[in-house]
Amino acid sequence: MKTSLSLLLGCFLTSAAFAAGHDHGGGERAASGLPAWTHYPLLVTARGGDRGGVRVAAANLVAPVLDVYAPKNWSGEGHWELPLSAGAEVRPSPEVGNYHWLAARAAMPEYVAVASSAFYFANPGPAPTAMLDAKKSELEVIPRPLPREHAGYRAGEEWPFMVRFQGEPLKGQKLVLETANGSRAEFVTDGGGVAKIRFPDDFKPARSGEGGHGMRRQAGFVLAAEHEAGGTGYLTTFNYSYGPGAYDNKSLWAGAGFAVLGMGMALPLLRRRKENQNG
Amino acid sequence: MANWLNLSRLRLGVQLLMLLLTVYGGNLVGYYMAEKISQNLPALSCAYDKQNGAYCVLIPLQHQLHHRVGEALVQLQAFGFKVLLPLVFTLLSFYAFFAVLNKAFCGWVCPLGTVQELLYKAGRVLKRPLRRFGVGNVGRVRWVKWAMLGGLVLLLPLLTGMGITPHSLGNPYCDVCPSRLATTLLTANTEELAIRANGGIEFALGAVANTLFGFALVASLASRQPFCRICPMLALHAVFRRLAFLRLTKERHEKCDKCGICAKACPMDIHEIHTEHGPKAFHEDCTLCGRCAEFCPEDGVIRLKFGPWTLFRSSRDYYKARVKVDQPEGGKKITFHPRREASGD
Repeated sequence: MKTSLSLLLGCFLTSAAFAAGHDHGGGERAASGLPAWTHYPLLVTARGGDRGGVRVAAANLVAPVLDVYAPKNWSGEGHWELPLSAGAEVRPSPEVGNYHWLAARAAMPEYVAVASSAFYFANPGPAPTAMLDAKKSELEVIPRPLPREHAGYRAGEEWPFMVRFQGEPLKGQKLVLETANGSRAEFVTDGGGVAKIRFPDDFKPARSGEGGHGMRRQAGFVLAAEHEAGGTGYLTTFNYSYGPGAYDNKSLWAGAGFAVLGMGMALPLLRRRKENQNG
Repeated sequence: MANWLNLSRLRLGVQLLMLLLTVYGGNLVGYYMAEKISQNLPALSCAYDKQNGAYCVLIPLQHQLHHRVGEALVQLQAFGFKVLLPLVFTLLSFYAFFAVLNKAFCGWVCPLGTVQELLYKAGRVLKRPLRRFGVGNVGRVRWVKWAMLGGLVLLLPLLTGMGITPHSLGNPYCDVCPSRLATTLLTANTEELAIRANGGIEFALGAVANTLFGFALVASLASRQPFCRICPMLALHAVFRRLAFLRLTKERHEKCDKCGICAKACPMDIHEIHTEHGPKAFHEDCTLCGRCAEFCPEDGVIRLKFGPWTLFRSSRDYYKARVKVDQPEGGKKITFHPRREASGD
């Protein structure tokens, strides 16, 4: 069955428009503009020139529209559709929340493919917990949770992802991880439908000038789940980006050394003196 | 107030509760930013601590000056609505909390303040000497908090947003803040202790941060709240301290000139609490800990007031009970018992 799903997936592997000039995640691109590192469907995001917007394009998937869900009122005004033919531009309303869920769905008889991702806007509003909990398609790969502000997926870390089908957790479900740095791994969900995904430490050593604040190295990754029910095959992906490990290009020993230096500088304060200690 | 419950013990209880809430409170209130108690808390509740319950106001101040105000000054047409409004909201959100507790956020809520006070108590147990600033030299450090606020929280992020200083100076205060190290280490996370190994500004900031952190840890054993004296949050509070409900008041009293125990009790070495009265007694360095009121032996001279209501007032009876168990400087009261005669009479 998996082979047939993959063959069907091939029907969707057509070129899709990409946001011009964007390099999401640092992954390599083929000459066609498609990411060369995976054949799975992806949603590729690129910040627009204006601070408020992001351009979204589907890769490895032909889907008519992009579904956007905001944390605030995700079942009503917080859910809207944008045409994907030439790439969609998402502009959040004020105060609707930071993370927006993005999904593109392509359906054929006996086969459904969904590419999903999330995008973080610096936009006040509710937390995305309820929005993530809500059923948005048949087969879903849901981060539980998304990285918090001041955080992100990083190499060497384990993050839980839930696989749901028709809103119910899928136990024993295989999840495939592929990264733009060339890694591939498989995981299986537990009884609660959750798999702990360990991001591979596959970044090359930073070159001089790389990795500073504002120049964080990132690479794309995709998690894919395939499932069959009622004679229909389902493929759903979640793609996002991850960065080097927490201690990449950092020295714990140097840090501890300076802390000890500071302690040493304060030691004279602890010595007792016979003269008046005030002042 | 019950005999066992004095203001210091009440404050210690609140501090420990706030330490738990600010360092680990995310497990209770929620994981995402929107679920935090506040994103603009007037205390050093560090966002680098992934379990924290609230965010320190100095984070959005730096980020907005860097990413919004500074960048928009370069593109002046966007300056009004999109730029100033978020900054105003940050300050209003900060003030919504601050208007209630005023500088008590330092003395009762700040996790770094609590850690330093606990270390100072440990120093008393270890019988380390007390180091304090006198009238003649306290002025040497008082200006530093204003330099920290003006330089590290406001100016450098702004210049970075304008493209004048490098991006690595976008949030320089967070980069040197000891609370970032203290609160993350309290969650068994050593990541913030590690510093950039590639040289340059980030390495320098990390080296300063860790040295300052190490110094503050050990100095706290002998000195009361050493970092608080140069903390930019103390300066930010000082700007707004006349505009909040909770405050310290002191009335003139004829015995004040000969006493001065209140100044000895003050952990911030504010000698003005002894020499001044009226508005000047509520000094810019005050953290509203209330120790001066606890150790004032005269009825009603020093008060902690919330609007028109007195929450705590100095009294001779309270003072007598207080000094039986605690010295104004914080150490345990040393009592000498007369030797019994050998005859056993």
